Amino acid sequence: MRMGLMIQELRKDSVGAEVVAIYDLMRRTGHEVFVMTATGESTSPLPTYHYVDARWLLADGKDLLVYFCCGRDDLAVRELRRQACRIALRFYGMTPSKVWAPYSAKLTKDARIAINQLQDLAQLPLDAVLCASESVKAAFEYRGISESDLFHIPMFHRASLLAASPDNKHTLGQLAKNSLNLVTVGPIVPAANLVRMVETLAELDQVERSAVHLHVIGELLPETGPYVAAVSQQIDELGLSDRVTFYGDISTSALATFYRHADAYWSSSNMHVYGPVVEAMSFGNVIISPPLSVAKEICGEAAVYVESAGEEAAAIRMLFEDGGADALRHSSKQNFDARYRLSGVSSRFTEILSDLDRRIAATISANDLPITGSWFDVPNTKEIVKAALVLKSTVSPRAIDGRDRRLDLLDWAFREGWRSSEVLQRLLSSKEFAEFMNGLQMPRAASHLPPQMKLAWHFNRVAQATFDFDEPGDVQRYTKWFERELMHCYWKGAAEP
Amino acid sequence: MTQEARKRRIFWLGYHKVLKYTELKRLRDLGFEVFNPRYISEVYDQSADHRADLDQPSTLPLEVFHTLMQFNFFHVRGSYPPQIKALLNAHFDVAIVTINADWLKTFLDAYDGRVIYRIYGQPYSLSDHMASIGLPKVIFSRPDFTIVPFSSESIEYEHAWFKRLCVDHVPYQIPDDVFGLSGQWKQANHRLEIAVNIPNIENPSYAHAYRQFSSKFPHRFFRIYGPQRSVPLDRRIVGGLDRRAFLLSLRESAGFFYNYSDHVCYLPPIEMMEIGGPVIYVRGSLLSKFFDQSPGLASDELEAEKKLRWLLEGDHKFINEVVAAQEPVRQRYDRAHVLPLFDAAFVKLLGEHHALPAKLQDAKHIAEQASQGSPRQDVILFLLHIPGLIGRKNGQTFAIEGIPRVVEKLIEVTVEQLGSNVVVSCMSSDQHTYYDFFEQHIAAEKLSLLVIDQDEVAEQTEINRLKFVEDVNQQEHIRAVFVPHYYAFPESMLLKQPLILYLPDYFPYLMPNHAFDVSKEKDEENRSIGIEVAAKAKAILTASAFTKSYLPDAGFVQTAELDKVVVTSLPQLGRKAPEKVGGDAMAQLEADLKGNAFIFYPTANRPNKQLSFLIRVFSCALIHRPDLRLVLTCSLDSVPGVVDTVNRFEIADRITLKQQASDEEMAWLFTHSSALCLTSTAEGNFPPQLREALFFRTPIVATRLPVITELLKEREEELLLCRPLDLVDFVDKLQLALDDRQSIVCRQEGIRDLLSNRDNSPEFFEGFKRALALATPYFTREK
Repeated sequence: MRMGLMIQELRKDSVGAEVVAIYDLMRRTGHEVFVMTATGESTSPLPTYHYVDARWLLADGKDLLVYFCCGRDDLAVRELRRQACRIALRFYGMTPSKVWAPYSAKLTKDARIAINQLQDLAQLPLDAVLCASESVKAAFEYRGISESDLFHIPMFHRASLLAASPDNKHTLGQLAKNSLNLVTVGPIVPAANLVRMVETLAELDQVERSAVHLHVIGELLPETGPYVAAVSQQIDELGLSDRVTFYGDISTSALATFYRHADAYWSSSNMHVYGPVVEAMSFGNVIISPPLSVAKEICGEAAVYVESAGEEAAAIRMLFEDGGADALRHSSKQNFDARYRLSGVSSRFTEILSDLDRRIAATISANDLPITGSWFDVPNTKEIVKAALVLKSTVSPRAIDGRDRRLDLLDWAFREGWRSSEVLQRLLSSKEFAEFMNGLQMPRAASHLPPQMKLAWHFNRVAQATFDFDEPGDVQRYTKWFERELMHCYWKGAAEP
Repeated sequence: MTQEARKRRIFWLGYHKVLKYTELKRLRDLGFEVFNPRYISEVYDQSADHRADLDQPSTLPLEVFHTLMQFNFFHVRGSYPPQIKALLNAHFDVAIVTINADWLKTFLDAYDGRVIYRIYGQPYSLSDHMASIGLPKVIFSRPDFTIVPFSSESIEYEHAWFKRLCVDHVPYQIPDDVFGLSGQWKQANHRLEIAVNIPNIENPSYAHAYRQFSSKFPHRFFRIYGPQRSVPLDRRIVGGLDRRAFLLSLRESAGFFYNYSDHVCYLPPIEMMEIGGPVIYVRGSLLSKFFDQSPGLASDELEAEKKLRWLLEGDHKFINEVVAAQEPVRQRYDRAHVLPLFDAAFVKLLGEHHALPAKLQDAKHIAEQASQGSPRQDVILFLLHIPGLIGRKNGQTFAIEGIPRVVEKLIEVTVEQLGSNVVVSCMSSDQHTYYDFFEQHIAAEKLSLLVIDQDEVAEQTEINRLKFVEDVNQQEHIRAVFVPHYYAFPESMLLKQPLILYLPDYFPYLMPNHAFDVSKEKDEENRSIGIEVAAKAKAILTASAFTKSYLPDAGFVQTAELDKVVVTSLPQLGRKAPEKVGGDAMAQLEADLKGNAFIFYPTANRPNKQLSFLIRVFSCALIHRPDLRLVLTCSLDSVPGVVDTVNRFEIADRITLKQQASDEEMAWLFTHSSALCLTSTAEGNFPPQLREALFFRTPIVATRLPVITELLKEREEELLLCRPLDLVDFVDKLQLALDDRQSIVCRQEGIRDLLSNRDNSPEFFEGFKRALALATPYFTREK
């Protein structure tokens, strides 16, 4: 099988680590794998392709493209609609836009658009949504993806790599300066809720405070400048500047040293609880976390769940007590061993792929397929769809699941099917259908196009994804493309023989 | 060794790493002694071969050889030192200068012997550049000079004088090392890679090519070859490889993509063809001109992507078609094809008794003839010394729309029907364009140019214009002067020859509340000049009885003098039929207009044209047809309010301004426009735009003007004529034209026939003859 791993930007974060791990797994098991990013570049040494390359790298219907959904990504939505291969989404949940609101209007808007884009993604002919936790499945259930297409698979992680990394002397020196070291890992974004963590530190009394140090490890993204500035100001104002250190990106050995020697892994995050938490558990770290359903699902009894700064402070105080957290450390390691060993995650992934492969072969009689869903107001929908399905005789049970699969079926009927079916020709020659073709709404710049071109743009998802008519010249490009690709075969109207 | 026995010694000024091992080497193989200086300029050129050929065979005295080898002949500022000049003239029989016109200029300044300028195609007009650095004058003063281009297509856009200096083209070959891999592509295992050549991305021109390429083709299956000085973050960039590695990379690539659309043909695609691999190329490049129709052509990025995918997928049928179609192009650069032609041409050109090419004599003759201001009898001087009246695009010259086209017609009539000679005044910056434009008349010794030196200092140019007056007044054979505009040539008042003033209309009189120039004051100043020139003129030529009727009231003539106003009808202007419109012009216009439907009104922006109103009409039409564009040929800011209207309706991005449109472009615009929308409320004669629109079968929506209805009479209903400035009327009729072009064109076909049956040329000629007769008896008396 050929597999594409499509990610907007391949960073050195936990999602990036997951992409690299899957790449490695698939290569080791004899598959061709391609990593694709929005720019075609990455800081990783892996060979990297551009999104647009997916169309020729994965041109076969059996190829699988896994899209790692991490935020607003207009280009991905567009490119995914142009694919002929199978598509799976990797989903971790989305940051609610309001989290960004105090810091960046642009990122607030981007987060809102990202959530809206889930609707577009859900309408793709998806074969699977690979959810990082059970609790994020709801986002796609709510958008009409059937339960059988939603798979739970924990994140691939770097625990083995970290475990094999020796201690970093400099990091050891950093840790030795404090009685109690707390670590948090992940991009420095509002969802990390560092503001709450600083408030918690301020809750500690003077003695406790002087013993505690919070080590913040994670990439400082250029766009999160205002957030970082706000947190830094808060730290200064509360007199905690010698109690909190930001490290940015660090080496694997330094990260392993932090995990290995820290007294607890602390997260106040609303969202980012996957990779680092699992990695921390692999070292038997105590986990302090808000009682989010996703956190409970991942950590089980290995974490102390705290709702407020006061409760967090109490959890930290517990760490001062001799042996107070030993039980937690034990269950943390146990939990990891039982559920998150990389071999187990890999097996689960392979199992899902096999399941998806089996589905390719599954077909049912076209007559048995219930014609459900919205059909874009096409007149005589049921008859047209039935006539098209009859021509195909057997179909995938999911042949009309989702908007794009329904579009594909109709597009096929208008492009090829009508030639072999008198019933289709009759239905498409009806007055109602001619009126429907004439009345199809187009983007303003293309509103004058003839009905045949309107029909093709509405039902051919490649056309729709390629030409949005926002750019000057799109009408001309579409016209030329249509003349080359579709004009000779697409349903023109009643004048057709 | 005696002079006779000595080999011919050639100075070969070039540094290109291909040419040094092909043409330079071949010349030596042919038995010539060829000296090649070393490249020691600090200017970076990725094509330069920096190796100094110290072992080159030479009979030059050692000291001379070393002196020349140590001198930098490339990218020199100023001229060579006297010592170098002396050595060149003393020791070399012929010189070949390659590629660069600036080196040529410096070299011609130093060397008096025969010079051959060898060129290989360039992305700009070489002759324009040569003219801008004053080379034509230098070349025409020399006894022996020849240009040797490598293909006729590469000089398509050059000036006529330049083409005359060219011997028939002599092809050039790709390097010898490619032939070892000829046809081997098919046997190779191909990587999923498409080769592209973009060298030296630091250079602005290649940087532009790289940006354009990357924005359209972000795909990672490309490998970008070519030497680089610095490399942007793009893993596709391979950079410079040694030749063998590069050629092997081509062999292992799934194909080659030639991304350039300018007028050059770099060698890597040809090398790929020789190796036997398929090449996909975009429209517009010189390479694309070598093909008629080819499966390798990609008309846009989507087609390119599709065809490149076919190559990557190894679609044998497609690949075979592409490779078969490129065979004639491959042959052009094939050593076996090139060498016999090269040998024959250069042996002849470098031989001792080589006669000058006849065309060089022609070129010199034209230059001499054009600049003679000839002492011939009875000539008419036409004043055309305003920059920009004659345009030049894609190697073609044309009179810009309006008065210059009328003058073009008058000169044609004078030369061809009156049998008289003509002198045309022009500014020095336009000299070479005028050579081309009037080439036929100049070659027939019917026309010469009077050139006025244009100086960087405006005042000096003004003084030169006055000197021009002095010159003209001294030339007795100039019997009459045609003044084509009432205030553009104020110095004509000082000429002693009789004047004929062309005054087709005078709108400030008809629309007294509007400023036609920058202000009413300037209008008044223009008017006083016009009145002076008109008073001095022996005859005034105008285009309608209507204009003649108000000229006395406008102050241009006394009622008693009305006889000197001659009315004539304008014939069809504009020379090109639509089928002659060239592919390049069409492609450029298509690119500018992005394939959208458009309405058209070619006119200068004057208050009577009502462009603000036109913009309102257009804005309304946009509601129905959002893709619509408006194409104008003028500047919007010459009449107050027009730009404001554009801004108010926020439609600046919907308007395309094609100023100085060529005949070809005008023909294309008329042919492709959805409608001519003539909103003018006052015209002096039947609007020539209507004649052209009828000729090109463009639907017409126009104001119901008296000059139109008088001519069409009861047939006026066959055109979509509207009440002046009636928005609803215009929008409705424009709508009809947009919705059903074909029936509107059919409907106006009768008017087309009516006007084409009424050939105005005889009437036009007669009118001009009458005006001329009023001015001077020399031209119209029986001969």
